[in-house]
Amino acid sequence: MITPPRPAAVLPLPTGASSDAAALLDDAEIATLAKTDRRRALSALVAKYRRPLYRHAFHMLHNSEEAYEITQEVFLRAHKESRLFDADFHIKGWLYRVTANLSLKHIRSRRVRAMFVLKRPEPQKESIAPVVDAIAGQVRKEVAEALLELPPRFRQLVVLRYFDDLSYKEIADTMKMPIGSVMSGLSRARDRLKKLLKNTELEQT
Amino acid sequence: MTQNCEHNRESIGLLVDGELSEDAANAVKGHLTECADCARYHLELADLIEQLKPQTPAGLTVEESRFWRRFEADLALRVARGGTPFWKRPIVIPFPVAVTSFFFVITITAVALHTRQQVSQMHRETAKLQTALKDLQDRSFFATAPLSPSASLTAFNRDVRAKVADPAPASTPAVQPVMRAARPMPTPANMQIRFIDSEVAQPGDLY
Repeated sequence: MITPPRPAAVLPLPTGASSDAAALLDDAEIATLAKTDRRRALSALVAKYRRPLYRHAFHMLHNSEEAYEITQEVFLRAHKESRLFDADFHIKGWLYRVTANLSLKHIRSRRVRAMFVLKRPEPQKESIAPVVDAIAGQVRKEVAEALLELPPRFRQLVVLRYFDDLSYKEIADTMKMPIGSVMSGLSRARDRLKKLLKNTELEQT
Repeated sequence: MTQNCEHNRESIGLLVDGELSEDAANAVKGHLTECADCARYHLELADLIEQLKPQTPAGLTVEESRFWRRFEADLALRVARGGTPFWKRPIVIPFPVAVTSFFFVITITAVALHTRQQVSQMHRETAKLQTALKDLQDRSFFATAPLSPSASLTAFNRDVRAKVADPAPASTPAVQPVMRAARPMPTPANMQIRFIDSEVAQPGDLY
C-alpha cells in the first residue's frame, strides 16, 4: 500500500490564482470576474475545479492517465463554451456533467476495445505517482475493486455523492435525472456495494 | 414494525446523506432508538460510507504543485491548439456495429456480383434466341414452299387411309399426294428434265 506523501511544504501556486481553500473564488465571483477578464476567470475556474473533477474521473476509471486526459478535455470544452458565464448557467453542474459523460463514454469504449483484445481490462493496480493518491484520495484496494465492479451508472452515483460530496439536488442536475431516481438509484447502489464488499470479505477469510 | 421498516430504510439513507430537515431527522433518530432492525441497518450504512471516505492529506505538497503546473501547461497548449478538430479524432465504432456492417457489405457485394453474372447470362441467352429467331424468319422468308410439313403429312395420311378403306379408281385426283413441299431428290436414274418444269410430284414418280 502506497503511503500518501506527508504534506512537506504548502506552497501557493505560481500561477495567478492560488488553490488554497480560502482563496478559492465563489462561482458567482468568477462569473462577475468574467465580465471584465474572461481569461483570468477561466484560470480561476480551473484552479477551483481541477482537483474535484480529476478525483471524479479517477474514481470512475481508476486510471490516472485517463483521468488526466478527461479532466483536460473538460476544461478545454469549458474554454470553448460561450454560455459558461451567463447569468443562469450552473457552472458546477455543467462541469460535473461533462466529466461524468466523458468518463462513461470512456468506460464504454474501454469495454469495446476489450472485445478486440479478448481479455478483461485490469484496473490500475498501483497509482502512477503517489501524487495521485494525494489528489484522488486513497481508498482500500477492495473498495476500489468493488467500485469497478459496479455498473457505470451506479458507480457514477456513488462517486458523485461520496467522493465529490454533491447534494442530491446537484446530482439530479448533473445526471439530468429526477431526485426520486437519484434516491432509489443511490440506495440500490449502496446495497450492491455492500454485497460486493461482503463477498470479498468472505473470499478472504 | 416490520412493514414500516422498508419505508424507513429510505429515510435512514436520507439521514445518513444529510438530506433531511432538522425535524425529519429528529423523527428518524427517534425511531432508531426504538427499532432494532432499523438501528442495525443504520449502523451498516454508516460503516459502508466510512469505508468509502478517501483519506486525503490536506494542503498541497511540492509534488502536487508540480503535477498541477504540468496540468496547466498542457491545458494552455491544448487551448492554443484549439483542440483536435472532430475529423482528426479517432472514430469509435462499437464492435457489433462494425461486424454487422462488414458482413452486410460482403453480402451486398456477393449479391451484386451474382446478379451481374445472371444478367449477362440472360443477355447471352437472349442474343442466342434472337439470332435463332432471325435465322428462322430469314429462312421462312426465302423459302418457296409452305413451311408446314406436318400439316401436309397429316393430310397425306388421311388420304391414304381413305384410299385403302375405299379403293377408288386410280385416276381420282383426290388421291394425289399433297407432299408438294419436298423437292424431288434427283437420283441418277431419275434425272429428267420435267422435274425442272414442274415442281409437282407425279403419281408415277419414284422417290
